[in-house]
Amino acid sequence: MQKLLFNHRNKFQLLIASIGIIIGLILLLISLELYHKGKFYNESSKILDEHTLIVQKKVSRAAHLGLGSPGFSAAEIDELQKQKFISACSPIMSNQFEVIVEINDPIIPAFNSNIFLQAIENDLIDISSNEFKWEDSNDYVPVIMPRNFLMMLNTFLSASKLPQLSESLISNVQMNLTLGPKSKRSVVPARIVGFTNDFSSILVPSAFLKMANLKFANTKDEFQSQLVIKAVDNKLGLLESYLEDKGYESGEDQIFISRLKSTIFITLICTTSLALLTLFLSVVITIQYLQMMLSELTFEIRLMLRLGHSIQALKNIFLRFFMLVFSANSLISFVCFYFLNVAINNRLIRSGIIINESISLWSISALFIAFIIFTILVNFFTVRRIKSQFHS
Amino acid sequence: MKIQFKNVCPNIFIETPLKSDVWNQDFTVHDGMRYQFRGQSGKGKTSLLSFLLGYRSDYRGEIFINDKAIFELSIDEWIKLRREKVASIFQDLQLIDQLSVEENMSLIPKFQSGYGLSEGKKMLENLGMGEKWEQKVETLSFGQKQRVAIVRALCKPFELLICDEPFSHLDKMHKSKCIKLIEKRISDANAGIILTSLDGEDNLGLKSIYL
Repeated sequence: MQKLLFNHRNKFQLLIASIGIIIGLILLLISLELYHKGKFYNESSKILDEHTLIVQKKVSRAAHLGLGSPGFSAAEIDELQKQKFISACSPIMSNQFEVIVEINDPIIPAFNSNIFLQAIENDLIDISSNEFKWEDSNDYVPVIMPRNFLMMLNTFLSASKLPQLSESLISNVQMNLTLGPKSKRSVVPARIVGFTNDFSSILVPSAFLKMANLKFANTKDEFQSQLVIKAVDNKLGLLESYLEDKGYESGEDQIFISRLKSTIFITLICTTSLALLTLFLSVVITIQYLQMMLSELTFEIRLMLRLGHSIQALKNIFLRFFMLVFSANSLISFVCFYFLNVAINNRLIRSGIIINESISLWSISALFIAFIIFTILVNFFTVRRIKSQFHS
Repeated sequence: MKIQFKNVCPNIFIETPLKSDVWNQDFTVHDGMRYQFRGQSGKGKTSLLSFLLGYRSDYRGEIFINDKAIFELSIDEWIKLRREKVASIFQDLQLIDQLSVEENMSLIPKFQSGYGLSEGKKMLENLGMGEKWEQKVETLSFGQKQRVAIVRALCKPFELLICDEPFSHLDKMHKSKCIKLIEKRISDANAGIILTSLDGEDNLGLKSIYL
C-alpha cells in the first residue's frame, strides 16, 4: 500500500517545504534559546529587579564647598515617595564605624581588608528572607558579597600563585567581621548567602546594621547618601527623567543592561516572528502537498474504502509518512541548532559574557509543540479528505 | 443479509414516471437469495447497486439493510459491512493499473481463513492466469482484468456478492469457469448474490428482476 500511495510521486514541493521547516525551526530554536539566555543573564546575581534603581546625588563642586549636602534629607525622600511613578523608596544604610573582613581558613592564606557594609529593607531585594535575616541570638551574620570582592580576592590568590576560589568554595570559608574602633572591637562570624553585581559593598541585614551602628558608632542619625527606588511597572522612563531633572543619578550599568536586554528582546521577538512565519508558510506548503497527494489518489482511496479499509487505517498511512518527514526535519534542525548554539556560547564566553551553556527546556518544548501542531493539522486535513470520499 | 427497497427511485427518473419490479415499488432481497437485475442500458442497474453500497445517495425512497435504513448506518457500520458482509465486482473493475495482479489482490483488508493470497492465486491459475500473477494489470486485456476482479471479490469474506455485469468481456470458456468458481464460493459461504445483466444470465439459479 505504501508503494501505491507514495512511489513515483514528485517530491519537489515537499523538499522545498522541508527546507522551509528546517530553517524555520532553527530560527525558532535559536531565538528562544537566546531569549532564554538573555532573560536569565545576570539573574542569579541580580537582587534588584529591573524596575529598581540605586540612586545618589551627582557629585558637584558645591558639595565640596559645603554648599549642598551629598546626602538625602527626609524632605527629599518624602517628595520622592509621593511621586506616582515610584512604588517604593528606601534609604540604603551604611556603617558608621570601621569594619574589617578577615578570612581565616586553612585553604587560603590569611586575608583582611577594610570594607563597607550596607543594608536595605528586605522587601526591596530579591533574596530569601529566611536566609537573609539576623537576630541577636544568631551565631553568624548572613552577608551578600559583591562579585567584585571575589574578583579582588582571586587576583590576590593568583598573585600568591594559589588556586582561585569559586563562588561555592568561598561560601564555605571561615570569615569574620571585625567591628568598631580599636578600643571596643568585636568579632562576628559571617556567612556568605549570595552574590551580587548590583552593589559594591557587602550587604548585611538591616537589623544587624542598625544594632551595630548604635553599638559601635553610638548614633541613630544615619547619613543617607544612596536610595533604592522602585518604579511602577513600565514607568522606568518617567523615573529616569525625574531623576535627571532633580540632579540625581543612578547606576549606569543597571540601566545599560536593562536597555541592552530590551533591545535584544525586541530583535529576538522579530526573529521569532520571522521563524514562526517561515514555519507557518512551510507547513501550509506541506499541507497543500498533502491535499494534492490525496486529490491525485482519489481513485485509490475510494477503492480502499470500497474494499473495507477504515478511514483510520488509511489516515494512519499518511500521518506516519508526514510525521516521519517532520521528525527528520526536526532532527536536522536540532543538530544544526545544537552546533550553532555551541558556537554562539563560545563566542559569548570569549567576549566575557558568562551564560548558562545548557540547552533550555523552552527549545525542546517548542520543538515538541511544533510537532504536535503539525500532527494535528495533518490528521485533520487527511481525515477530512478521506471522509469526503467515503460515500462516493 | 436482508435488503429492502421501499419506493426507491433515482432522482434522474423523478420527472418521468418509472415503474419496474424495483423502482417505485417495495422489494425485498432475502438472506441467501440469488437475483439478477435485468434491463437495457440506462435503466439504472449500476445506480441501484451504487445506492445499495452507499456510493451514491441521489435517489428518493428508502433502502434498508437488515431492517436498518442505510442513511442511519454509521461509518463504522459501513466499514464492517464493506469489509465482512459484502463483496463487489465493479463494472469498471476498480483495479489499479500500475500494480501487479498480486498487489491488486493484496489490497483486500482482511482475508478469512482459506481465502488468502494462495487461494486467490489458485483460482487465477484455474482461470488460465497463473503466469500473470506478477504482471502489471495495465498489460492485461479487459477480459483478463475482469477475471482478476472476479477472483479478488471471491477472496473477500461476504454474505452477499454483488456483481455488476461481471462476464461482459469473457469468452464462453472463461465465463463458464468463473461461474463455477462463483457457484462454489457462494455455496461454501451460504451467501446470496445480486447480479446485473443486459440479456439475462441462465446460470447460478438466479431469479430475474426487471428494471
